[in-house]
Amino acid sequence: MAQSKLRQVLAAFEENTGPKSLSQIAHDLEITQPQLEGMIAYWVRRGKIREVADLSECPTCGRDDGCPFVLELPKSYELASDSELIALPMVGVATCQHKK
Amino acid sequence: MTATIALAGNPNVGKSTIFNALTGSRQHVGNWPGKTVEKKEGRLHVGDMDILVVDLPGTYSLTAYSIEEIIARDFIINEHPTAVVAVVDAANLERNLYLVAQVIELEVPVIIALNMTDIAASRGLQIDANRLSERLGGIPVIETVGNRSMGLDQLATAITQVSEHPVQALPRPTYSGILGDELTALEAMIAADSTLAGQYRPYWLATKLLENDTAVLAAMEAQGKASLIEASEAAQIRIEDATGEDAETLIADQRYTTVGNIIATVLERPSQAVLTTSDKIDAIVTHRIWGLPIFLLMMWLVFQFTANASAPYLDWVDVFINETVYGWAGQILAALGLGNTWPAALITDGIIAGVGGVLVFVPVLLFLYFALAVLEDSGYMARAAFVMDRVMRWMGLHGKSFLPMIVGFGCTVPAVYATRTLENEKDRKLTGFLATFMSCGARLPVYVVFGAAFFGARSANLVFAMYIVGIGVALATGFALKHTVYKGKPPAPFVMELPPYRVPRLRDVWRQMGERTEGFLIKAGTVILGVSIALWLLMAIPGRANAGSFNDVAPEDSLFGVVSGAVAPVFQPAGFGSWEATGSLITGFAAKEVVVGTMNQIYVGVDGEPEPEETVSFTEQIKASLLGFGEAAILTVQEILNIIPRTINLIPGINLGEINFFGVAEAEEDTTGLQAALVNSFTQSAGSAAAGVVAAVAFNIFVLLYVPCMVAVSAMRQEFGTRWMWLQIGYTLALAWIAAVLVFQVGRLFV
Repeated sequence: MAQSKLRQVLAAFEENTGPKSLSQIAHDLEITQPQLEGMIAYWVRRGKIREVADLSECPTCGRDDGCPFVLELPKSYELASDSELIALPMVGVATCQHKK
Repeated sequence: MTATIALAGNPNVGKSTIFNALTGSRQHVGNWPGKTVEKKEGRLHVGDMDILVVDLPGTYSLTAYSIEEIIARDFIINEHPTAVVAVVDAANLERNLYLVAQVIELEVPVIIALNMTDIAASRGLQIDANRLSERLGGIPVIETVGNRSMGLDQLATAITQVSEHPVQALPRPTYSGILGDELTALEAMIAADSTLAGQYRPYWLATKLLENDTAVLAAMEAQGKASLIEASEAAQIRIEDATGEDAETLIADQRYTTVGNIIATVLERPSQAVLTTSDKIDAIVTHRIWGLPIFLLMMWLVFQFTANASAPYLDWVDVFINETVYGWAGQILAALGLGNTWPAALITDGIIAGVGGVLVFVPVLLFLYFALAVLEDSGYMARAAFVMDRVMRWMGLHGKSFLPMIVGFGCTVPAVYATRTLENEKDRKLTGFLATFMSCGARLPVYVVFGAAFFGARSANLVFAMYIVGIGVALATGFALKHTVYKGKPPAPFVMELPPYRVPRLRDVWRQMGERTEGFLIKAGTVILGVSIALWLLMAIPGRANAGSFNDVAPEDSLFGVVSGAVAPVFQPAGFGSWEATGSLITGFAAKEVVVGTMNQIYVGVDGEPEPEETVSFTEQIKASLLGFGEAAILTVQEILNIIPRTINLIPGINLGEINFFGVAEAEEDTTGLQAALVNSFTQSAGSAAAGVVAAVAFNIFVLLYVPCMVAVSAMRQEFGTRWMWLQIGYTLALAWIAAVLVFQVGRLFV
């Protein structure tokens, strides 16, 4: 039975043995990167993939504009751990607010 | 005539801009009933039409996974708006049309505002709006640029047209195979239930039941529709048996397929090669084998650049602060009648020597932050994290652990807080532990001053070695802990967006340099100033009987000298068992920059005498300083150019000559008072000049590995608890001492 494209996206994460870029996965699955990001968003909602949170701000210096040493890294994702698969995200959980 | 229009769309698509443009000041802002999510309503008057415009929360989907999604779809289902204006980011059509597909499933009249068409055009994206409308069953598609008020009149016209003639030929999503069959069967069952048919669009409700939508299931349960839920569950089982896929994923997949098919016919992208330039560069830079050596080379270049390019300015600032400013302060204090008094000593030997001794390194940090900002802005730092993911996982660590460690290159404190990005507590603690071994900006002045004193023109090698040793110790510690205390399954790799490489923007680089250096200056004006005053006080108070009086005591007999001298034998096996070196390590607990400040106070502030300036006028001093600054600029260019031959000379058998604008070896000629004093002190404590060099390296190793600073320790206590904090302090002190002793004892066998 042929896997759906969505399932192939999840499989790409499950079978990933080394760091991969979104463009590599999109290329492998023959879809565009925006399509891939949309499909990843589906699995993020289902709780199977997690978007790596932005690095936390450091409150020590109390600067209004945030710590200048904290890097703004590009979007990253990883497979959610087994323990998190027990419960799907609950209603009321805030949506991802990725810093741009 | 009145109508209600709902604005729906993904976050950050310019929905609020369009809302504001349509409603102007006729707005009401509140909260959705019982929720903390903001609700905005406004009025649009067109002709005799009074239209209520409701701005729905930004969402990517209309499922039940977030409160925003529930609010948006409940409004459409329960309030029956005349039409929904779906605001779509034209530059990100695929992602946005997925939401549109779900709005269409609600069987409500839809208008698409194809927003940000200017950005899409600037990216070479060509969208055929007419064709898009056609493919969506005739839904009006209006091109807009909300922030420039373009297309808004046409949008308002479309809204009035749909409001006046609300019956729109509604497109209906089609699902093929068993999914379509089961949906049709469930739809029929719902349509036959007059209660449900009056509340919901049957086809939409059937879709949601198959998707196992928690909110819809709860509503059905509340209405006692157990048979419908059972039918839906049975249908899901049949679908999964037939396709091997759960119904929810199958439905979402078909939506994506539909969207993909539409996109293929309406969107034209700029001609794309199979591999972009960034992809081609990444094939080398993130290569399984070459990635790591390239990362090390980049680090090497960063520290070559930092140490060499900053050296001329470092010398200039050193002369300016420790001679010119020191001299001016002495003259002013003498003119005020305070010469040779303790307040004068506090200002010159305490504050100027302590804070000034640290401020000397501002050029070094400026150049380091410049180099790091260039790496970040060019997109390389993301690749570094990517490359190190492989190394980290090979050691049994989480790839994400390297992210806080990169932050640790700037400052350990945010690195400790950055461990929050790891969800597992053990990983967080372990990463916090390792991040302290990364050389922060505060340690850099120590490396630089020792590098210049003991290695001259090759000082960058010491700096580079310290950074690499820090990474190596962190990885080795992580490896040891992960295979003993923190045993667990190997972490999964992560997937990262690698943004295209770009030429760094000078404005961004400048901003980062400025903000990071500002932090250093703030620290100099607070922590370092405080420690300098306290240190001066401790060095002015006699530490033993008959050693002198306040402000008239030999440094080694001061309270600070006596206490440091008592601890000093501990460091004798490491070759730096002098009270001066020990004392600077003690004050280094407060902040690592203070190590250099303390040395400056001990070696220069007390023993050093300012150059007599009486014969040189103020104007001549300023002129000399400006000339010195200009000379430093020329020498900086020389040093940057020399990085190339110095790097190539690493290849055995090659020995390229270096550029020398002034015909003299500047870097080797200029030795500051502090550097000369350090060489003398370490030669004495280690026993010989050659052993002194090894002792200097051992001292730097100790500075690298021992407790980072008070604030970092406090951050650790806050994040990981008091017990962990003490464990970290104990471990880093023991490790630093053992490593320093090993380096000295083994190293001196070879000199």
